[in-house]
Amino acid sequence: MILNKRIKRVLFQNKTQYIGLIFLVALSISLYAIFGSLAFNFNEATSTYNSKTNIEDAKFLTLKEVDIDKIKGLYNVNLEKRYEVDVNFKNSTLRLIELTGEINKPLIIEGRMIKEGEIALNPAYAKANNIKIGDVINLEGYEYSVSGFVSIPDYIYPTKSLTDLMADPTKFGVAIVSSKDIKKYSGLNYFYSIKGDISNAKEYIDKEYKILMWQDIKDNLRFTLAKKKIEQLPQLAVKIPLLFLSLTFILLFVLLKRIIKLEIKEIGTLYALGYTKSEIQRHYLFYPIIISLLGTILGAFFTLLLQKPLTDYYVFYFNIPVSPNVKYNFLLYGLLESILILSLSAYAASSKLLKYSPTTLLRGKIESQKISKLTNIKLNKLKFKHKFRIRESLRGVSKIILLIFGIFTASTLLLVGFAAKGSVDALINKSIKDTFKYKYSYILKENINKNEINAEGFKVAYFKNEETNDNIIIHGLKKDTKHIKLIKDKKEVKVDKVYITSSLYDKLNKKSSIKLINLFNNKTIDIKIDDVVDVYTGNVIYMPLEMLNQILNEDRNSINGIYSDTKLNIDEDKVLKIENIEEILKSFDVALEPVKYMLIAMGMLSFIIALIVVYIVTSLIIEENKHSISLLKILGYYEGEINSLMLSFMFIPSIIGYALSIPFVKAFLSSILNTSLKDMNLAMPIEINPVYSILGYAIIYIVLVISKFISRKRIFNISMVDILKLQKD
Amino acid sequence: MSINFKNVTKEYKTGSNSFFALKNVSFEANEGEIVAVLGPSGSGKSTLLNILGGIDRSTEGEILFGDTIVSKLSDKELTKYRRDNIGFVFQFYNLIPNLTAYENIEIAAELTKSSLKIDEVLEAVGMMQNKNKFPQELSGGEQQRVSIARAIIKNPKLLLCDEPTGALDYATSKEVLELLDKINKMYGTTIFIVTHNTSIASMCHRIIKLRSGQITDVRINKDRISPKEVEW
Ligand SMILES: Nc1ncnc2c1ncn2[C@@H]1O[C@H](COP(=O)(O)OP(=O)(O)OP(=O)(O)O)[C@@H](O)[C@H]1O
Ligand SMILES: [Mg+2]
Repeated sequence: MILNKRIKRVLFQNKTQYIGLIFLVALSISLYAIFGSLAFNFNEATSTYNSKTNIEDAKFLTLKEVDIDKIKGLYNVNLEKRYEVDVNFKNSTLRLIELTGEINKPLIIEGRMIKEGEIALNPAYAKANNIKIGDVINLEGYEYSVSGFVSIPDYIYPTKSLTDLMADPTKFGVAIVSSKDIKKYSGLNYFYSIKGDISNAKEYIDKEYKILMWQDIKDNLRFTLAKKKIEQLPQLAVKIPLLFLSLTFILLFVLLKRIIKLEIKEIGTLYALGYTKSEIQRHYLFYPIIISLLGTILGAFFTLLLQKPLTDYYVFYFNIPVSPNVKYNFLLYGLLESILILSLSAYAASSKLLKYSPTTLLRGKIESQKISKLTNIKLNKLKFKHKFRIRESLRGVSKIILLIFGIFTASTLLLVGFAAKGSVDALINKSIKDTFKYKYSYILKENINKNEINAEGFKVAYFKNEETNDNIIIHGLKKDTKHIKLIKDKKEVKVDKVYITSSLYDKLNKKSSIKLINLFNNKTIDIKIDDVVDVYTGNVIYMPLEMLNQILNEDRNSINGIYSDTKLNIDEDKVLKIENIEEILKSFDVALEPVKYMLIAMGMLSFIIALIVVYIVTSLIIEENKHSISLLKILGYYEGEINSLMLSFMFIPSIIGYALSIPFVKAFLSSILNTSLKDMNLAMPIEINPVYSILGYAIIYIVLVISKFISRKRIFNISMVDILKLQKD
Repeated sequence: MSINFKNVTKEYKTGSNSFFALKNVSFEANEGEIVAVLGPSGSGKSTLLNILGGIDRSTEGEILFGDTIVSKLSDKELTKYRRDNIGFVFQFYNLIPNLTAYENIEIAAELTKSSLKIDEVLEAVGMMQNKNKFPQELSGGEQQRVSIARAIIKNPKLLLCDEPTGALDYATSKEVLELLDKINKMYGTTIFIVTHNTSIASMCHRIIKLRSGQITDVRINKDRISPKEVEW
């Protein structure tokens, strides 16, 4: 068909516009393929990982030493004891873990398995502390040669304490050494790992040996957090590329409509010659196919380039070997999806125009026959330039929608980044900086009288929710404590009744009382909750010290915790746990460092997308109005004035698009974040910092200014004389 | 403002060939004259008019508009020159389709502080009752009236009309010519009319004839008749 010969010419003539489209397709396909492959590889990695490592079902600690063989004989379980010890290495803590042979078998990621006198570390820690395979390191008097990097199944996300949310590889790492080597150290800890039919065994173990601590693997954040974080991927893998594809849909629609209008006369001729509508429509389907194919080729290139670095980056903190291979079927799905969506666009763009009779088409004018109601409004009261802009925009409603949607997409991308950062900042500020006003908190192994010390004391007690089995901590505080600042509706409240954290409140589905089981004596108590405070981390209940002591049946002055602004000199043996707020904040900083790069990448991406859309819209406007522009030039308008008449209306749709994206991003983020955060004992206040909102629009504004600048040159290049020669009408 | 062409040449180069749309064209015209530019198709009439109106440039020679050397103006100065001095009327009207008649005139009125009153000009061209119509809703003659109104609203010193009646029937053409004559009288505007039609020349003060880019004849029309009497 003769029209097919035009395709190459049309694509070439408007190459920047089509390169923009191809780029968008490439972007959505590569995002889809990269995240799809990553999620797939990760799932595969975890499922083979679990069987390869024979990961535990639970770990526990008992009062009396258990008889492993006896339990194995009685129940269908496997049981193993594993030693561990924390050693200092250059200002950081390295947890040495005994190499086990049955449960929680470590997996070598790089290098080889250890022998006696050798050590293998988790890669993030090794990298943060500049340790390489083959190095010899000295750990508290014993030398080891590094044989490789390792993944330890119950430390996929290696946090120091079980309740930590953020892993800080500069401060904490895990490593395996042989049984013989670990026994050289003093102060060893141990846990039992159990796998198999554990529920009956648990009861027996508790009866015989008294369980002090029991943690099912599904409650182990070191394991579940990684899963949670990666499970969000498929959601992103589908949603974001789809947004890009719908943008491409509208862009192609607008561009094809324009081409078809230019080709109207040829189409009329073909009709007159006897071609059918479907034959002609088939021709227009070449565009989406070519764009999709080229987009996929470019997308495949992006994917091949980025899959490995992104995989490495994404799983860096998770300490689990994930294959960086591209799953090519995602590229294929992407291609099909793109062909489908864009063909629909081509179909929509062509079918209405092709309905006209050959004679109408031959006349070459189909639109301006009658004036639409929209255009025919009276604007006499307005200033001329406003009138002109309104008429101009009413004529190109599809372009306005395109502009709004394009800016919306770009802003969404931009704001997701900003909101994530803003929310984390708010989380840190509200939950940590604003709430915890002490520098150190010590938790003691035994109760003391609060009058024995000249610092502020408190009491912690450990419970679990009878219904859900979640661990819940109760803090008994001094009524006018200076060290914990509870805030409710922006006002500080006194600890004179029972408060709970927002995160726990969300988790309890906003109930006002709960049944708790005391982990020490298994007694059940009922707690009535009076109010919720703005603390977004932890399953914590705050109440007056005396009230807690009453519940526990302990002396009203009894405490087991101390808040302090300085480091205290307490006998290490008496301390169960020391918390240093500064270190916690630092670990957040380290963990959030990658977020910064993500933000920059997302910002650049949205800048490019906005630029593509705005460029296409402005070049379309200028092309369609070539005639009017040349007339305005003849009349004596300067390029700048024409530019402003033609393009200034863009600012309003851009503001609308941006404004629409704000509530969308909030809803989108809270839907994907809060479901997964609930399991991490976190409630994220979704916030877009006003400064970021302004910054975000500034980026969009810059895009508009740049494209206005580019279009000024195009206006300059429109010849006044040539237009007059084109015999119009 | 008098107009003076001195050896104006317009050369188009296509590859190694070159083509002269105008070659050594020289003529003078006085302020307030109606000037007819006659010649067969391709003789360079539009080229001459476009160069005079500052929307095209000559390759050689000098164009004077009063004391202004138009051929030496920068792009920006040329825009200013058009803005302050020139009104254009074209064969195919060239109105902006999505603006009403009134707004099509307003677009030119915006350019100057000393513009005429839009309603007054609409009255003068006889389009008062059609001022809120869009171009598609107007006949060719009516559109041409709007286009003339647009050209004169700035009260330009020079009105350039390229085949203003080329697309119109006899009766309408005569009405347009009468309108141009009226404007010339009312505002003292210098008017150039490019045309194929030799009869039209009889209503003009000065007649320039072109052939193959060269002037074959420039003469003052002593037996000037009113447009009403023009016939063809
Ligand atoms: N861009 C160009 N490149 C080459 N030649 C050109 C170009 N523009 C015009 N010409 C030539 O210059 C000559 C004069 O053109 P012009 O438009 O001035 O003629 P005209 O007298 O107005 O004709 P008509 O009565 O048909 O409008 C023509 O022969 C035309 O082919
Ligand atoms: Mg001409």
